[in-house]
Amino acid sequence: MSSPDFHPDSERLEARAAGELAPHEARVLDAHLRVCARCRSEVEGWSLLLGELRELPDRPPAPDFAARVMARVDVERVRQGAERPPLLARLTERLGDPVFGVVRRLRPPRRLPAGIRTDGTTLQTGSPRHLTPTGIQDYLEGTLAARTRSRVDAHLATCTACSAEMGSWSGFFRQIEALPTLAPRNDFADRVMARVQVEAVASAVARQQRSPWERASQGLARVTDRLLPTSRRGWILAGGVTAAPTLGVVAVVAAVVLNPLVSFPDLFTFLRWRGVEAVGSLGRGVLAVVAENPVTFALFELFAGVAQASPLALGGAFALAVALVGTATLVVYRNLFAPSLTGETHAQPTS
Amino acid sequence: MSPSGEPVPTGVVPPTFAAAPDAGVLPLDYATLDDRDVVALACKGRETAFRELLSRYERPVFSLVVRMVRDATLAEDLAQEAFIKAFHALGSYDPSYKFSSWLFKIANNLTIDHLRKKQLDTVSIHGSSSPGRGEEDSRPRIAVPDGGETPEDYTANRELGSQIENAIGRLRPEYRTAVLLRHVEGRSYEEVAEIMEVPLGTVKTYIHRGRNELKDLLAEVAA
Repeated sequence: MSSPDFHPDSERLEARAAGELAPHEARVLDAHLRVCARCRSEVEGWSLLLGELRELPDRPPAPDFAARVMARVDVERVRQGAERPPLLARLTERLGDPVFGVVRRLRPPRRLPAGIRTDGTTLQTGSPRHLTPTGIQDYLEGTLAARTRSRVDAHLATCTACSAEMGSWSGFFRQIEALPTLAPRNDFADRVMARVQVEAVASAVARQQRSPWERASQGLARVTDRLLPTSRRGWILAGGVTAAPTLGVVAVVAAVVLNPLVSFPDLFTFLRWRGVEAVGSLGRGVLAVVAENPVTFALFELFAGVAQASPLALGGAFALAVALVGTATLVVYRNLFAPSLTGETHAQPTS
Repeated sequence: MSPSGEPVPTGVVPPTFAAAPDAGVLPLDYATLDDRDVVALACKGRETAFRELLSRYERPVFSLVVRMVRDATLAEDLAQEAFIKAFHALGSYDPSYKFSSWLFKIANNLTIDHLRKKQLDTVSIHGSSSPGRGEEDSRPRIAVPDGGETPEDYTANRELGSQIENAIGRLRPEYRTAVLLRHVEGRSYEEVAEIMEVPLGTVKTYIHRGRNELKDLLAEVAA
């Protein structure tokens, strides 16, 4: 907006001069006006014109003005026209909202010039200036600018019709603002709290406020907690499982230390040789099993098929794989890390 | 000692989550705390803080919802869902906004969703979000449920029988929410816009048109 290459339309400039723009819109437009002499001059022109219009005196029409106008107005035709919905609304009703609802929503709203009444009513035949319902409501809500408010006050002092309308609106405001606050049943809070997992909320909030490192370490601690035994029998079992290899290692070390014919370098050389031989045997065995297995042949055929498949099929397969992996990850995450926020709970009413 | 009997920190209660009050030595009077501080305590797992938020907002939220759906039992269910949803999402609440606006937004969204689903079985509640004259003339109204009151004879249902309540019930949902938030809850235009997630100008339009319609409806009844 602040670029001189882009100029707001006259309607917006006129609204700025009339002070009808919202504060944030006015700020944006003012930023443009500071750098654009052309628009600034147009706003000044509008301000001048609007000021002159405001100063125009109210000139009452001739006494028979209303009668002459009404003599030329076909009231029945106007009423029928008002009752007949617009063409778009009629087509929408006939052909359905899915078709014309889109058009209607795309159509910009009709903008009425400031001061034009939209409700079609008049307070006093022949009088050119009366307060609009919107103006009256803004006055009662105290949202009018001080200058406008004083003009409304001046008008109300002389116009009985607008005073009556203002009184009517004032009564309406009092009526609606006197509406009571309704209460739910007494056990409403207890019923809500029975479904709120307070600790889960607290832990979820705390997790969101921690750094990623803290979250990772706490997640690791949680996994460790899950792996640790929770009963005495579990601890005995885990201790036994842990102690058995430890005792074996201790026995080997003791045998080496106590036997003068065996030294640690000899033992290391022997173990390395046995290790290499074992790994080699294992590799050969695995290769033999894998290479001569019918499953392997099937997999080779599958890969060959994939290589000749169309990009679409490959993409679909990839998407499926991603979905499967994602689902699996989600399941693992939900079961290991995320606290459950659903289900029944422990929260009890406080005494 | 506070009704909750919980300890309160010494000194001034900090305004942010990070510096929320911790256990101290003084009794904690939740009623004197700002919403944000109560929320911060709730985030620390204090059940009394949740109950304080409930006691502050159960009536306003229920009032809004019951005037939207015009059924006390259903309104209680929706208000309950709104609180549960809000409490479970406290971690995503931004303390720079008013808690009440955030809560009303959740309740209003739940209510509007419910009305939309309900209208799928009957007739669309929407002409458009920016109504014109033609739409206003032909727009359907939310049906007022007849009867079906539970044995617990709510005061709410009796209140909803008054002329002005019936007239409010005949407004389209957007107008109804805007008018209720503005005049019954006393929210500013900006807050109403935030709660309804629509531009400020749209809120002004909703409120002006809602009031005009409401006044006309009341005049019809009086005539």
